[in-house]
Amino acid sequence: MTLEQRFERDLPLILDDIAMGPYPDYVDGVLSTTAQRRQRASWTFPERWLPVELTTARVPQTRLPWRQVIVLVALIALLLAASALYIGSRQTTLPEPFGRASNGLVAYARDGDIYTVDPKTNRSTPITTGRDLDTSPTWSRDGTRLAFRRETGASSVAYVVDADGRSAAPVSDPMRNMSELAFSPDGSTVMFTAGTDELRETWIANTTGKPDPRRIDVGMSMVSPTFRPPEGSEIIFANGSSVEQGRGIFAVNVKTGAVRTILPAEPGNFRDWIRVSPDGSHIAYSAATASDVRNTFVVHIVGADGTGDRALPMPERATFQDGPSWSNDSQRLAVARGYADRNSDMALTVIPADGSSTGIETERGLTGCCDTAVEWAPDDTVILVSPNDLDGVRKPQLLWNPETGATQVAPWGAKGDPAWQRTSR
Amino acid sequence: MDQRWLVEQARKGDHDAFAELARAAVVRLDRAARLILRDPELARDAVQDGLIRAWRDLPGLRDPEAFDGWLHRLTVNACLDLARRRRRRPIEVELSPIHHPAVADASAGVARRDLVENVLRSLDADGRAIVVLHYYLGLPLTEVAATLRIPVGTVKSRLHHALGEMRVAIATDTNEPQREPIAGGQLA
Repeated sequence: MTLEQRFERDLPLILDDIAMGPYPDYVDGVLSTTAQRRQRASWTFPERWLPVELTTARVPQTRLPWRQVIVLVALIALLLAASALYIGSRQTTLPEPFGRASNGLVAYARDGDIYTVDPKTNRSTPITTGRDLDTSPTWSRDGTRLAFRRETGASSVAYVVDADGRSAAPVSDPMRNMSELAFSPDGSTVMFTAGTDELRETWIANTTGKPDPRRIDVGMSMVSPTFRPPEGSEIIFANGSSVEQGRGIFAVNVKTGAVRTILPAEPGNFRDWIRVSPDGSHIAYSAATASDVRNTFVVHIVGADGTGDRALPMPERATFQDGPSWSNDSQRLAVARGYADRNSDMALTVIPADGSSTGIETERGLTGCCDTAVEWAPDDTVILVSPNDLDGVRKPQLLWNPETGATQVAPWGAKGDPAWQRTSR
Repeated sequence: MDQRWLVEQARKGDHDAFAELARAAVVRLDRAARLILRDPELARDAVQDGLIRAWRDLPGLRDPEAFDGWLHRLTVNACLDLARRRRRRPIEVELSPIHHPAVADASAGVARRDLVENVLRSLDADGRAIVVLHYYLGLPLTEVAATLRIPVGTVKSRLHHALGEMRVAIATDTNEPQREPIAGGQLA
């Protein structure tokens, strides 16, 4: 038995030891109080028909006048809550926010609406419909909600909606160039970026109650922000400087605003596409040196504390690697690999995170330009790819087998950023 | 006497049956409340609130087998209500156990207890409630989440954080070397 197992075994006894005190002699006083009080009649209050969890919920501190109209309103509210609980109970167990999970639905945007599709049946369900232009859906880590952008002229508004399409609600003001929507690990907030290329701002908004969007101000432009698992108490990002000035990697504490340097900014050293491993221990990123004539990106891995920075290996004839994406078990990375100076003749590759091999490639030419977005299925058995052609135009999503490198067009024919729902195993 | 029978009698208004249930549970409730609130007087108030509400609402408890968990939830929620009401006034009162159990290595046990207590003190009341509900009262994580009305993921991450702090404190104190993570998140 390891030290950790022994500790968890002993923890109840340690807690008992800490809490030990004299026998609570006040119990007789409590019982004399309860003896003088009447119980609620079992048929006169609504908790009779509600789950125990609801009846044990804390009550508001302020006492409301108990008048008939308010009773009626309270009853309606409780019935609505019971309905919501019933609907919610259809997914009784939620997946862990990180690590492997079961594959759920794939979300995608088409013609300005958001859909989900069941990959097993290829049956699609509209989540948002109507005249609004909705795009870029992304799942919460527990798979119960989606966030998406609603385009309003030159600006976008971030929305959150339940997985079944109910309760769509805006969580931001209209903002220009909004992108990189992501839920915090516990789903209580969403993060997004907005602003100009020169000054990328990172915002956070609550997903329940009042959204209260607020800017994370670190005194510099934030690029590629991502919550660090498992708690999400830190956001890892690159500063938004040019290649010449160099980009470093930093972490900001969401609560305190304190910033720590993971890799300092150095002139000519450009870092981008920051991705934190699901276990929170390592950061993968693309690094490039200044060059006008060729793509020089190489994928690196560094410890979350800034130690052990190293480049992932490439075959001799390869010229660059870019766009890393971690598997859910934190063991492998999917990357785009180029065999020409520019974004042509590219293959997709799965590389072991320990750098022990150059990995397994797909055939070349599947994607050709710009940022190729990929997302591992929650169970890590397949990777969903959003490829581009050489002009940057999105092509239909691909399903990529990480073991063999084989690919096929996803039968649902969607284009756009991949988003796969996590469900309980 | 069979607890189920006592619960059924108490549901029908038998106060003696309720008194028996309360006396059987009060030590554990008191300790759980002391762990969460870090203040014996507040713990006493919270347990009283929980028991009074339990008596009042007992006829609404559908499953007598669920009595223990239900009573734990009432008490923990009473603790958190009290903690929130007192939030403007930080509560940091040292608990002074009267008795320490005899252990083979008493000094090591006391040291370990102190380390855990320090980490507990650094958590807020909600964080302590998660640890107490899961490790002291034995509720599964899903029930902890339902009791506190927060996502299971939040429970897990906060528990992970608290346990990590405790392990680090104990490992540091015992000079056990920390294993370095290698790529992929495995431990060497």
